[in-house]
Amino acid sequence: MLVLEYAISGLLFGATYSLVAIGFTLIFGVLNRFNIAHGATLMVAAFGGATISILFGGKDSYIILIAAFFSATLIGAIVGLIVRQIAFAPLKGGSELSPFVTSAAMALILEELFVNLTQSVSIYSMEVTEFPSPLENLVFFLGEIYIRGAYLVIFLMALIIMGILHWWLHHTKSGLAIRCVEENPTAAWLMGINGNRVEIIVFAVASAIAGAAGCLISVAYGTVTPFLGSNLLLVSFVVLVLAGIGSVRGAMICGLLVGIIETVTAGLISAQTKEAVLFIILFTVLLVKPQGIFATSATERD
Amino acid sequence: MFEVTGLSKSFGGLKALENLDISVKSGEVMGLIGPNGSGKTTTINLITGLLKADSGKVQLDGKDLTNKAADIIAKLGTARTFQNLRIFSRQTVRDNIRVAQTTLCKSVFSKFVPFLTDEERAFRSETDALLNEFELSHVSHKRAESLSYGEKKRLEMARALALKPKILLLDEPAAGMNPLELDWLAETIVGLKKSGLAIILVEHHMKLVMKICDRITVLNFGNKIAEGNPKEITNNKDVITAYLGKDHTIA
Repeated sequence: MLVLEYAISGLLFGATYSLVAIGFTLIFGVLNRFNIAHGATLMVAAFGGATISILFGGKDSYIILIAAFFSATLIGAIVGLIVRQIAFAPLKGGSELSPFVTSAAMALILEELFVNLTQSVSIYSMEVTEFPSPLENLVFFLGEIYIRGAYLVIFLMALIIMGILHWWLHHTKSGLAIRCVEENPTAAWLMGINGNRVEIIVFAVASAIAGAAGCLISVAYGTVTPFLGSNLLLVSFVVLVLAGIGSVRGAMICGLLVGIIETVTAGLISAQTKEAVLFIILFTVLLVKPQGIFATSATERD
Repeated sequence: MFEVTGLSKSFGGLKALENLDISVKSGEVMGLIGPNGSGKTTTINLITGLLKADSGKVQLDGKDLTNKAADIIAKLGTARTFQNLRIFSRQTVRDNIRVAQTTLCKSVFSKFVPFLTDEERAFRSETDALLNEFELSHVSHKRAESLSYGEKKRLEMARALALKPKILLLDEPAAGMNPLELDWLAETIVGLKKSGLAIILVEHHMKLVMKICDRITVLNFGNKIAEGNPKEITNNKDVITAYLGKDHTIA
């Protein structure tokens, strides 16, 4: 019974991993570059949400919580566009590694900035800042299984976001343009698609999703720290490699899977072993299927 | 009227194209032939914006296309196919054709919300018409990678036409086609020409070139060595030398 309880809360929380990994894989798909600042973007957005909740007394108000969520989403999009403008746009046509370095630098700068802010701004606390929300004490019981209300809410929100994203990518014209740039940038360009515009849209959307995820995760934790993003970035790397890089659907499913594995391990063995178990599973999967579980047939990019 | 004047391009010290002039009227097929490495594909890449020209001009109906970004050139009415197919193989056949419509659609709003507007209705019927015309209706929901080679070639042409171009550049469309497909290709190109499209055909299949081209431009080492109708070209001494070497005569 306990295992089931762990598995369910892992599944629910894992949806946020899916969200982070999806944004990461979307940007990689279109630019063929990793955005290392993706985690930092998420962290900044989470702080934005927390700030609104702290300032306006979000402890008891669902309206403030919703406002915090949408602000975090918007802040995510804005930070993402700034990251693109500084770390990606000037390096167009350069080596694949240069944006890796510049976006990692952006991540460090943003982290340091928030370490300093948390030390100097009075509404924040050193190390962990609180994210007050009315979901903190919400609890459901499914038979004898205990489910945290916050987990259920973030799971539903994550599902809605993923549903909208999937529909957008597969049923709208801009979604089609993104899929084509992802598959063959040159051919898409010659069909009249402006690659820069697609990049901007993808950065904005992926970072907005990261912002939403950041808000959901810190609501679930009840706290936010400047290093929230770097931990999640590592997890989303694992999700991506498990799923196969470039597969959005794979990132959704593997995010849930990683959530379950983590929570069950932490619950049954100990919190310290969860990463070890995760990486053991990752290595095993890679031995059997090196291209990832959901990898699409590798098509040439040119 | 599509006009190229004084177009030149060199790669390092190698002059890939020198001072090329071509003009194609609407409803005309211009053949662009020459031995391998004579600058045919370079010409197409320069026209479509994949390469930047060192000097010269490209104009379509008086609008300047020279060294514009490839997506702008495409939107202004230039479409092409590739020597080696470049369809979007992971997308469905229908989506491949609809790619053009993501850029042709006027309102930004309709790019994000697929409401059934008049424009969208027109797009759908155009897509259906193209699928029909290129005999792809029965595979329209399949992924493009699952098509046969001939179907892929037809799809690439249909995709180019979905851009509603004024000039169509075909880069070796006959490569790998069987005699039946060749007949179909010739018929299709003639049909497109009659509908008022200007066409530049780069091709090694001489029978096809001689059959459907109104005029032919011959390139050798980046220089134009001859221009004329198919008959004039077959009898041109420079052309025969370029293709066969000095000591040959056509029997």
